Amino acid sequence: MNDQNAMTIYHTFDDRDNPANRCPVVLLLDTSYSMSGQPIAELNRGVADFVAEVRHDEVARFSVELACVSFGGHPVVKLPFTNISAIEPEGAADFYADGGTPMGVAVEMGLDLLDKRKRNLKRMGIPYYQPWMVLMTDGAPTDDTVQAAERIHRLAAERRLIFLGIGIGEYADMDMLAELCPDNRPPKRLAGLEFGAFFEWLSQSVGAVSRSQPGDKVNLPSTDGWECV
Amino acid sequence: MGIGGFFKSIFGESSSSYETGSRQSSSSSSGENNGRTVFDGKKSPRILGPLLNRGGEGDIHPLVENYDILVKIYHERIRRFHPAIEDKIEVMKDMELRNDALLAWPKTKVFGDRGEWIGFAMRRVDGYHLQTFCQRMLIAERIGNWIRVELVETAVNFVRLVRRLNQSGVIVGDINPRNFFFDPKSRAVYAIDCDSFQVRRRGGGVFTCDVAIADFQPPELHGASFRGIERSVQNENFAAAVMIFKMLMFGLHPYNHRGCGEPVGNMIAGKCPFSNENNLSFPCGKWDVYWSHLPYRIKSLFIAAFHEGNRNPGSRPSLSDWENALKTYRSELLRGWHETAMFPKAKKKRGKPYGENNIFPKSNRKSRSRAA
Repeated sequence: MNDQNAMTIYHTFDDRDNPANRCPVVLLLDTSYSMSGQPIAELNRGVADFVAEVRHDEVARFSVELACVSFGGHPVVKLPFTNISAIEPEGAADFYADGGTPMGVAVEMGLDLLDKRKRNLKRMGIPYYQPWMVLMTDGAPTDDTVQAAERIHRLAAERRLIFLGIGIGEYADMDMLAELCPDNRPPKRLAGLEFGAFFEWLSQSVGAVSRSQPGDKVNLPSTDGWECV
Repeated sequence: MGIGGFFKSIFGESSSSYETGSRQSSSSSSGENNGRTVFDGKKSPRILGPLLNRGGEGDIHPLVENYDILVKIYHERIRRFHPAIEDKIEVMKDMELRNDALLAWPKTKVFGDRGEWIGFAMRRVDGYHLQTFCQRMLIAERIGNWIRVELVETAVNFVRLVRRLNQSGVIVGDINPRNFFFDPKSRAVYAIDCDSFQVRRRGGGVFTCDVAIADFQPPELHGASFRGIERSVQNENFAAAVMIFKMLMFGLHPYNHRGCGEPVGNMIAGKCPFSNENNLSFPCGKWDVYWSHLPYRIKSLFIAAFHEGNRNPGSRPSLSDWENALKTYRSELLRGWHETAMFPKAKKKRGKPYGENNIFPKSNRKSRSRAA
């Protein structure tokens, strides 16, 4: 099941016709066995709502490009970088809970996707914003995350990555997440299964970014709706 | 500290905008002002309808009794920290431009139940944002049957509107594709967010325009906040030229080119890709094809605006230069001198009559002699 490329890209969208400044967003989603049942259903709905919400915004929908890596059993690129306007919202999220939690490999996979995408954008002459990477997990990694953490810290310090670590439920290993996250942006714990509120916040945040200039600082909305305090 | 606390905007928040008609842009909750009774200048009570749009400065609601009248209620912190806005609205509501059907101009002040000033009322305008022209997919979705004649007519109407404002001593300042609407049927262009415009004070001086989208602002305004700066007609000529460029080049920024950097940095460095001196090329895509089909006169004005005009504000074409050139382009399109397709597939060929796929009968001498 994990090998299926479950997201639907509903038509070919030519990057070269799109002059918008890009805002790359990578989702790293824990789809290990403990996520099965309601958590994965809520997560799926959250991602689908995120895509639908961004599509409503006539600026952000051409600016935001989404990539997804799921890690359950082994990490899989569920979606290579795709412009939001080219993703079918109904088919946007389709992850299955399965296997262990290879988080370190998944992070590196996401960072590699990002490097490749940034090289391509540069070559084509398309400006981009500081990319986003969101990691969501309900447990602890079953592999080594030292190298992944080093890469995240370096990019974040150079202001070349916004990394958000999100813990789901009471068993999420927040200490480990804190090691992964840059010091100035500690991990947050999701209140209950408020995936919807989180992804709404994310769509508002990337919407605000897509109206700014690359390199500018942007006011992000409050995290009150989903953050567990 | 929440994530929101990490950042401070350097431009202030973006001004509010709303889109009515076929697309409602508001997705947030109905707002605390829904159903609220407010009072107009004559102290008559009016009831606000559901929130139409929430912007950085205030919320926009229609009146329950008449959805064609919109009320902007400023956020309390804006009223508290920028009390001059009330004076500005006071001046604007008495200006002649209040009767201009193409402007969502403040018509009357609006008060709360304790008689405190809270906002203003304006006419609703409908249509699509000029942002539509910045995306090929939006053009296909909204005005898929258009040819270049309609595009150029819309650009003429945009230029005329800004020109008329400038002639009344008003500077738009924050020219950007989301502050203007166009009507897909009549091609009329409307301005919204008029309360952000730079307007003359009664006793001299100006109420400044305190917002801006950086990639529309000329190089001389960068490096400091846009707040409190008096903008000149030459600043406006630059911003208008960026808007015209984005319309005729489908969203490309004039300082966007292959191989390096983002547009604002390139602008400040004076790197304009279509001047011959810089030896730069457009980004990957069909941009050079679209450029090749623009008339010589339009291209020259762009070069004057973005190459010579980059460092020398006096060389930027005026809005009357733009109006004349665009009107000429329109009439030449109708005479079959230029390609009429919105998105020509290949570069214009030398020595061939203009407009190979032209829908208009060719009436220029060159093609007549070919036909003979």
